[in-house]
Amino acid sequence: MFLQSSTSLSADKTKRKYETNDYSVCLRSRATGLWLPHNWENKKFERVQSGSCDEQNSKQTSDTSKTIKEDEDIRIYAAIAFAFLLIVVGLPLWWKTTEVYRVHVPYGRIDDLREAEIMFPMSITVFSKSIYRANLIHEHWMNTTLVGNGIIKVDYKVDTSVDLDKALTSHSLEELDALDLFPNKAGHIYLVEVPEMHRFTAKHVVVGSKRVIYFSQKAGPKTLVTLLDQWILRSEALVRTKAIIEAPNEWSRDRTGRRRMPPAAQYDLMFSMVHPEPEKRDVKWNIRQAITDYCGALLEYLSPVITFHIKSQWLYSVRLEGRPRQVQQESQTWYSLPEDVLPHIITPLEKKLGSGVSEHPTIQLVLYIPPCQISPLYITSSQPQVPPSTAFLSPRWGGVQIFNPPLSLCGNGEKESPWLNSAAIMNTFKMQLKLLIGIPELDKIDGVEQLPLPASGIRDWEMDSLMRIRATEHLVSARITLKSLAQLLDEISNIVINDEVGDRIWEAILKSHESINKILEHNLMDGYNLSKQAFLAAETAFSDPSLLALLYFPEDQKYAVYIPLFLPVMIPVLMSLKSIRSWWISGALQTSGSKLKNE
Amino acid sequence: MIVWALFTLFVAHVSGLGQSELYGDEFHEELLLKQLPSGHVYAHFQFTTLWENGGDQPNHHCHLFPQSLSEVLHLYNVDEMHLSLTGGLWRHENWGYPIVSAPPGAELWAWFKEGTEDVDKKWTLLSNALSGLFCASLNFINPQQSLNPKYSFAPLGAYDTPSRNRSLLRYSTLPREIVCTENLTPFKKLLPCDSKKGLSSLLSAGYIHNANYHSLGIHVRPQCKDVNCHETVLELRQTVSLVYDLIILGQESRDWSFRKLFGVGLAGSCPLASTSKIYVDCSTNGTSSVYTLTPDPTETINSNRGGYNTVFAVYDIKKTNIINMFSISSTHKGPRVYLLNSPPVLHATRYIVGYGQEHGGIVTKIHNNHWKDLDISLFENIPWFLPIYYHTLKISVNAGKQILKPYAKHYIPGRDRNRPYALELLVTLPPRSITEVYIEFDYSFLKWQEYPPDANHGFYVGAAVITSLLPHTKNYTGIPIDGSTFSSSINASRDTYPVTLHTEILLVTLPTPDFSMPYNVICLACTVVALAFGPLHNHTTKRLQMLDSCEESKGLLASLKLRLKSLLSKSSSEPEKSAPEQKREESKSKEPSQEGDPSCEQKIMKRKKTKGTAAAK
Repeated sequence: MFLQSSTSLSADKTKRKYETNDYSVCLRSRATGLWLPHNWENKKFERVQSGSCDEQNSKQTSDTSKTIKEDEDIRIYAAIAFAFLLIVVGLPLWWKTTEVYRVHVPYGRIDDLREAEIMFPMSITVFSKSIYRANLIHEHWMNTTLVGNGIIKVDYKVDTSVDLDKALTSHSLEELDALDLFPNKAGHIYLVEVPEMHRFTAKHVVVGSKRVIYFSQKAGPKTLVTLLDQWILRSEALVRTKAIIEAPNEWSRDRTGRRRMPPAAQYDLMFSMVHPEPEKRDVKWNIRQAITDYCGALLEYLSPVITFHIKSQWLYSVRLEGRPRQVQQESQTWYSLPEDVLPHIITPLEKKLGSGVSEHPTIQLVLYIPPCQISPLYITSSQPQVPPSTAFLSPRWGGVQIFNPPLSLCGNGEKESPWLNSAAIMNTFKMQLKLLIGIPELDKIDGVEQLPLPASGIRDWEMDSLMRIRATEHLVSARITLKSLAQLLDEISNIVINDEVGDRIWEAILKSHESINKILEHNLMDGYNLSKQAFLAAETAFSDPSLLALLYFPEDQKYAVYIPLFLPVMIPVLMSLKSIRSWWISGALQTSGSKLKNE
Repeated sequence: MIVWALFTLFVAHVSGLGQSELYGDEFHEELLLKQLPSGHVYAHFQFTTLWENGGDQPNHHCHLFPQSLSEVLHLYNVDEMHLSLTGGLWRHENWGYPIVSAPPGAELWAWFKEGTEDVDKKWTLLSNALSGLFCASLNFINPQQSLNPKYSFAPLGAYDTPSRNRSLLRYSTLPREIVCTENLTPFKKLLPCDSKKGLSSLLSAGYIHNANYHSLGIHVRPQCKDVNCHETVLELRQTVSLVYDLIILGQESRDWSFRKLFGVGLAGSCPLASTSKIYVDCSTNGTSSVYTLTPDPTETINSNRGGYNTVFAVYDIKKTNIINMFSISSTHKGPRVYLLNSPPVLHATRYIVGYGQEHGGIVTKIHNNHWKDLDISLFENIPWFLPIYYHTLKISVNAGKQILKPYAKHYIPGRDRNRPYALELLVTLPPRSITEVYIEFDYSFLKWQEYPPDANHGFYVGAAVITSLLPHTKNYTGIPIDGSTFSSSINASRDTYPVTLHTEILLVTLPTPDFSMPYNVICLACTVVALAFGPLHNHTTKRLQMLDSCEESKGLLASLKLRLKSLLSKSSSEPEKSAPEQKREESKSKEPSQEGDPSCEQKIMKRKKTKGTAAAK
C-alpha cells in the first residue's frame, strides 16, 4: 500500500517537473550534477519519464538540444583531458621526479636474521684407559645441565681405544703437550687421562696450551666441569655478550667485556714513550726491536684473526697530571700515585698521543718515565693488602706503565745510560694487550693448573673462546645495526639508499647467514671471519654519508612549496571529476534508455 | 726586568742524542731577528727536523719527527709538501724578501711520489688530513680548485731523476682563510719540545697575532744527507714569520726586546735540539741607526753572500747558562733617521681595474730595478667565476711604450665549477722597467647555492706567484736550496738566488642576488600558474547557461532548502518498507513547498556547470 502510493507520488512529481523543457534542464542538472541523485531507482524512473517528456516536446527542442549536447561533450572531453594530464601523467611524473632514491631493502630478510640462531658446536672427547671412569665423567656431564647455556651445543664422546703410551714415556707434561697427539682443530677439546700424573705435578688437572686437558685418575668430574665451563667454554660470557648488545640498558658487561676493545676491522697499536725530562735523565730504549722481539710471536699468532698496525712514538716534555705523595719507608723514599687519580691522568695524555689519520681504533700502550723529583713512582691502592704496582689498564683504551730507571742517572747528564730492559716492559704490555683484545685473566679453580704459556702468549683454546665471543658480538651487532637501519628507513622517508649501501645490506645479511652455517659446520675460523665481514658491511651501510644527503630538507618545507602550486590547480580538476562521472553515467543511461525504447 | 746571566760552557751536553742515533734524526731551532728598513721588526723562527729513516720505506716508529705528520706523508704518497697559513701581506717593496714567501690565507702545494695513481684522490685526502691536523679549512681544497702548474713550483727536494713528472704536482690556495690561535696550537704540538722548552716557548698566541704579518709554514722535502748526496733524509721545516710594528706595540720607541715582542723571556733551549741559536741582523747598526744589543752575543759573524755583507750577532742558547730568563733587547741611541726606501730588485703589485659589475681587468705590475734583464715566471691563478679573455692579455713595459712578447705561455682555460683558469708566462723584464700584465675578465653570475655566507663581502682571488732567479742578494734572506737551517745561508754565495714572490690577493664583488629570491620565485611562479590555470580550466570545461530567476533570487537559502528537500525525499524513499507512517506524513507536509517551486519559470543568465544529464534530451 505504502509502496504504491510512494511510486505514484514520485510519478506525479516528475510529471510536474517536466511540464516545460527549460525548467527540467535547470532542475535536473542541479539534481544530478551538484548534488547526488536521489537514488538509482528514482532516476531510472525519471529517465523513462523524461523520455516520454522529450517525445512531447521533441519538435521544438531537437535542434538546440543537439548543439547543446555537442557543446557539453566537448567541454567534458576537455575536463577529461585536464584530469588525465594532471592525474595520470602529472602526478606520477611529479612523484617519480621528487622520489627519494632507494634501492630495495630486504626488510623480510633482515627480520629473518633474528630467527637465525647462533649456535657454537663443541665436541669434547674423553680419553681414558678405564671405560668405567670415562663413563663416570660422561654420566656426570649428562646430569649437569649447566654447560652450554643454549649457545654452545656440546657433543660428548668417550674414547678408550686411543693408545696413550706416549703419555707414559714423556718426561714432562710440556713435552707431552708439544706432541701433536690429536688433530688440533678449533671447536674440539680433548680430555686425556694421564696415568701416574703425580710424577709431574701435585694437581689433578692440568690445562695444556693447545686444546688438551690432562687429568689424573683422581680428578673429580666436578672439577672438570667447572674448568670447562669457566675457562674453556665461557658460555656465560657469550650469553652476556649477546644480551648486552640486544638490551644495553638491562644488562651490564662482565669484566672482560668492559675491557675488550670495540669490534673493528683492524686496530692500530701505538707504543708511546712518554719522557717528561729528557734534559735531566737520558733514557734509551729501542722500541722497534722490543716490539719485534717480544710481541712478534703474539702478533703473528693473532694475525689471522686480528690485524694490527704497529706504530711508536716518543713524547717529550709531557707530564702526567696528579700530585704524587711522598712515602718514606725505612731507608727508601718513593712516591705514590693514588689509584683514584688514575682516570684524570689519561685525559691530558690523550691530547698529545694523537690519533692521526688512521680510521682504525687505536690501542694505546704508554710507557712513562717519571721526572726525577717524583721518582720512583708507584701506583697505590686504597686497599692496604694490594701491593704498589707500576701499571694500570684503561678499558677499551689501552694501558699505562710506569718505568723507574735508576735514580743515579738523574741530573747526571754525562753518564752513559744503559738501554732499557725490554723484557719486563714488554711482558706487561703483552698482558695488557691480551686483556684489551678480550682474553680474560683466568680465575683460580682448586686443583687445576695450567702449563706455562706458549711463545705466542695465547693458548689455542683461549683463542677459540675469543673467536666465539667476537663472532657473537659481530653477528648480533650486525643484526641490530640492520634492524635499526630498517627502522630508520621506515620512520624517515628522506633517507637515500644508493646501490652501494643496498649491496652492503645484502652483503651483511648473506655473510651473517653464511657465518652461522660455517660455525655450525665446526669451521670457527671461517665463521669468525665471515661474521666480521658481515659486521663491517652492516656498519658501512649504516654510517654511509649518502644516507644523510637529503635529510636537511624537512617534510613541512616541502609542502610549503608544493601547496601553493597544487591546491589551486588540483581543486578545479578534482571538482570536474564529479561532473565527468555524472556525464558518464548519464551517457550510459541514455544508451540503455534508447535500447529500452527500441525494445 | 729580566734577570739574565751569560756563561759559556765548553761542554754542551745534549740529552736525547743517544736515542737520536738509533733513529737517525736531529732537531735544530733557530730564530732570526731583523730590523726592517721601514722600522718593523722581522722575527723568523725555524724548527728543522731531519730524519734519516723517514725518506724510504713506510716507517711508523718516530722519535723527533711528529708521528701524525709522518703517517699523513706515507699514507698519501707525498714526496714534498709546502703548507703556509698567513695573516697579513708581506710588503716586498718596503721589507725586502722574506726567508719563506707566503700569500695571505692558506697555500698548499705538494709533489706526490713517482708512480702515484689517482693523484687527485690522494690530493683531496691529503688536504683533508692536513685540515684535521692544523684545524684549518684546507678541506675546502678539492681537485676542482686545484692547479697543476707547468713552470712554477719546481720541486725543492733532492731526487734521483732531474726532471719530474708535472702531473704529480698540485697547487691550491684559500685566500679567505683566517689564521689564528687554533692553527698555532697544533703547529706547536708537532715540535718535539712542544711549546714547553726552547725557542717555541716564545710563541705565545696573544703576541703572535698582534703582529702586522704572521705566517706559519710547514715544509717537507727529501734533502741530501751529505755533500755527496747519495742518500736522502726527510726534512721538516716548521717556520713562523712575524713582522711587528714597533709603533703599534707601544712606547713610541725603536727599541725592542723579547718581552716587547713575545711577552716572555726564554727559559732555555729545547733539550732535544742539536743547535739552538738566535741570529740578530746587525748590518744596519752604525750606518742608519745606532743601537746596542744586550746581552752581548756569543759571537758576531760576517756573512758575505752574493756581494752583500751582512753582520749577524749570534746567541748560542746551548752555550748560554740561563739562570732565570733570557732576553735580548736593543737600545737605540741618537736621533731617529728615516731612510730612503731602497726597494728590492724585483717586486710586484696586483689590482683590479674597470667599473660596474660586468667587465673588469686584472693588472699585475712587476718592477725590475736591476740594471740588467731579469727572467721571471708569472703564475696567475684565477677562479672559474671570473672568466678571463686570453686574447686581451697584454704585456706592456713602462706605460705602454713597449709591448713584450712572453718567452713562453701556458694557458689552461677554466671550466665552470670544474677548473680554475691558469695562466703562466715566462717573461724577460727589461732593465729598470715596470711591466704591466693586463687581462680582462667578466663578472659571472653564480648559482644561488654557490654564494658563500656573507656573499656581499666579495670573493677572493688568490695571489699571483712570481718566481725568478736574482743575480745578487740585496734584501735577500732566503736559505739556499742545499741547506736546511738558517745557518747554511751564511756565506752561501751562489750564481743565482731563487726567489718567490706572492702578490696581493684580490677581492672581487660579484653580482649578488637577493637571497630570498628562490622562495619569491617559487611563490610567484605558483601564483602565476594557479592564476593562469583556473580561468583556462573554467573556459574549457564550463559555459554560461540560463537559470531561472526565482532560484537565483532565493540564493543560498533556496539552495539549502532544495538540498534539504532532496535529502528528505531520499530518506523517505529509501526506508519505505520499514519506515513508520510518520515519515510519510512528513514527506507529505513538505509537498506544498515543493509545489511552489515550479511556479517560477523566468530565465536569467547564470554561470553554471554543465552536466551530463543537463544535456537536453
